[in-house]
Amino acid sequence: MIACIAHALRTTSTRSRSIRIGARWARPRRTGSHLMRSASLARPSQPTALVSDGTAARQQQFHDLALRWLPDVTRFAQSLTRDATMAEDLVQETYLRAWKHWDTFNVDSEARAWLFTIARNAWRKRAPRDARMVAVEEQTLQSLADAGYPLGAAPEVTRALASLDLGPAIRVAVDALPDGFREVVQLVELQELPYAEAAEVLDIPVGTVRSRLFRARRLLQAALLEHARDAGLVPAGAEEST
Amino acid sequence: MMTNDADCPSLGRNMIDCEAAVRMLWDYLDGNLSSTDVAAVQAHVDRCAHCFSHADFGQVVLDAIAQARRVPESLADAPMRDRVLARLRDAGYSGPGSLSVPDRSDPEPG
Repeated sequence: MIACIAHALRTTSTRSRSIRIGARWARPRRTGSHLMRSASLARPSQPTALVSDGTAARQQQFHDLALRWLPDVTRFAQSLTRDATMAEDLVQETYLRAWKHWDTFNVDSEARAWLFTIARNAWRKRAPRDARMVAVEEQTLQSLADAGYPLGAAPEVTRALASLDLGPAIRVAVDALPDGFREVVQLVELQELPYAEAAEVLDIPVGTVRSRLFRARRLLQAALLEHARDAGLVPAGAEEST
Repeated sequence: MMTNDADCPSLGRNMIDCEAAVRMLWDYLDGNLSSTDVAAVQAHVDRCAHCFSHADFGQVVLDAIAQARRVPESLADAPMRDRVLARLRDAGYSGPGSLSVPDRSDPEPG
């Protein structure tokens, strides 16, 4: 007890950073955008009649609602394929399918999530995997996701990392994640989809999105520690705590 | 998970232990907890150096992910957009060709 109190006091007195608890909560962009999307999702799901095939209004609608998400769809395709050429092929296929089936799209719903779903389905068709392999992978992912709580790190390591622009390192680390984790991070963290929409796109339960996200964040933490070691920012022997 | 519950001063009445605190940390950092749980985790983290290190490093990776969102994209450049539009035009699309990159903070039209 005494040792712990002393440690806590010592750590408190030397903390140069504070955790911005609530700042993230109150961050307008993230919270606001989620609320906005929730409101969008809460709209009546009655399909709105689309204008007849071939009209200028239909073309305009496709442009306004679907084509505007081309950069996001491209990012998602890149994340799925991890190859620029295949990503472009997938984007083209996604938009061709979207255009072909535009009459079935509910314009009151989120076009971006719909496009992601088309892209993912197209990709899965293109790269069919052995069912047994998928089952094993799902099982493995779940067992990994069970240990999704955050890693801890020594204060000096956290301080060193917090002083860097880690955006590029995180991009590299996300690309290296296993498929099931990478998809969730891409949709929830980088594209900022709510859990429920990501779950629809990936066709998995919301709870699985959440557990995979948390585990993925932990894997990204481990990657950042590796990044810090490679950059010589971490003193020898400074290891993460579990 | 390594915890220091046995020595931790935060295990007073109505306080949560280290395992409970750490398991709630992502939701805490995301702002997805009830006010009661926020207060419980906050009280624990404020007094427990072990859990503080988890929360602190957790926040670092969340900040890094936010930085990653701002990494400039070389994707969906103009030639690629033109190629996508060309394929769509072959499939009957003859709508506007100019594509503006949407500001994600704007609500989707329609």
